[in-house]
Amino acid sequence: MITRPTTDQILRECSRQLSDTVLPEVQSEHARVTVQMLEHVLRNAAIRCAHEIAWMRDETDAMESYARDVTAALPDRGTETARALAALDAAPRDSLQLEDVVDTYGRAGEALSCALEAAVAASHAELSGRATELLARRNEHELEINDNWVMIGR
Amino acid sequence: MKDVVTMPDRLASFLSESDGRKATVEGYQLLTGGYSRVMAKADIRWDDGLVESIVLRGDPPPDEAMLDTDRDIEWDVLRALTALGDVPMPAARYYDATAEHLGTKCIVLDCAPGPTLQSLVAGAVDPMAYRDRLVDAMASVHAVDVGPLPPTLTRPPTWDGYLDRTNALWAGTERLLAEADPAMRYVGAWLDANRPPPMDLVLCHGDFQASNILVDPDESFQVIDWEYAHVGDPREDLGWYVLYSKSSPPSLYDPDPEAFLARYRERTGADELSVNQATVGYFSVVSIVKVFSQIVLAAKAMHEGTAASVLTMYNLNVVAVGHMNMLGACAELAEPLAALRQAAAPLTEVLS
Repeated sequence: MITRPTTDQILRECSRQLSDTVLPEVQSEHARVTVQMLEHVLRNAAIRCAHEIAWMRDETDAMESYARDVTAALPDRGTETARALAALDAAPRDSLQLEDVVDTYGRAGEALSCALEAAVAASHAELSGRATELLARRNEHELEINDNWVMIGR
Repeated sequence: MKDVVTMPDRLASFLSESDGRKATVEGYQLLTGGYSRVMAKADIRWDDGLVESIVLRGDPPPDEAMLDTDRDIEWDVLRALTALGDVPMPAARYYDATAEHLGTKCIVLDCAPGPTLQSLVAGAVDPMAYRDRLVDAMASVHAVDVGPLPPTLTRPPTWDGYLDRTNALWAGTERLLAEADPAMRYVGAWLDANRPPPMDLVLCHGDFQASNILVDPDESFQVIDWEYAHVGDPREDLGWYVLYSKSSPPSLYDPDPEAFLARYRERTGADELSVNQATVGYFSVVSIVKVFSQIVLAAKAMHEGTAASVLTMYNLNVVAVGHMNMLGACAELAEPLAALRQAAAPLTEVLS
């Protein structure tokens, strides 16, 4: 398997070609906006493919740990979280195939969602605070993928 | 609608049949800027000699649809607002409700001649010179008598019921997605736990921002793109403007929020306990759900192979920015909203 140039390098080059070679030749304003959007989508994809598996695995561990703490601290509100954690236990966690990592990440996300809803509804300051820290970390990764995004075409 | 070769003839035929006069289409071009609908501008010559431009606003092809709103409802609302006569908007003229003529359900409106307010403020030396007119335009939308508007525009029976339903959209939509979105679930829970003092429900535009205002040569404003119009809390439009203008600057709110809100209160009679930076911030978060939901549902549709477009992929970036703004707002607003609830409590007790 050819691995170098890496996938993100290839996508970045496609993006650059669109921007430097194709876009100057496009006259229609409608088509220009489309090309500009595609150029950015390729940059998004380049960053994602370089990091997403590592990011998802890191976040999964943190989300699971939080959800287990919530079920321990708020047992009366923990039914949904416990159900979500059981689903996470059954996830294909050892596989590095992208679809399996995405599946596991989604289940951990559901456990986090159930847990943070319980924490907010219970006005539990410490657990609510930890939830927002996890969400902020998740958002940092999303924003890194964005790569200085600005709205085009308006 | 996108076929610029065949559309002039189809449009001429449709206009002639709808209006009674014979129309000739002398120019037809697609417009950029409409993120949810296919937009086009056409130059028309009528057989009585009148020459004018019109705008077409139609549904995109089903596999490219990203934001799903109902053209029938939009036409009902636009027609009723046009009939009122004093709403600052281009008049709604004709509607191809069956897609038989124009290939897609399509609303035909007057073409306001001016540029968008967004293009003016973006290039202005002093964008704040436009602030009061922007606020006044919003106030005029909120002053519309909803009585004559069509029954398809739902009237929530109570403010609490309206907010229950609006806040439930966060978790309700999230459960439809192809993956968990814990930020959406957090926001829904947070909004429920941090309600501001209530206000009377009014007509909300639903996407009030500078790109949806056209400025006529006489400097008057025309509000366009009413597809999200609904009856709701007026602070939704304030909140949406505040939020949207951050990602599409310059904001006419951020440099002096108190002056912006004072103008709004002066024009509407709202009190300071109801309309202030904290409540507007709360509704910035509330107001985002409809558009945000459409974006993430479009991502789900793309994942499932039922729809895809460049815009869907591009707008995944909006999701990240939306998460950031929502979470930031929740963190900033909890304390001031709690203080407002405390201040409003004696009044609520008296009223009850």
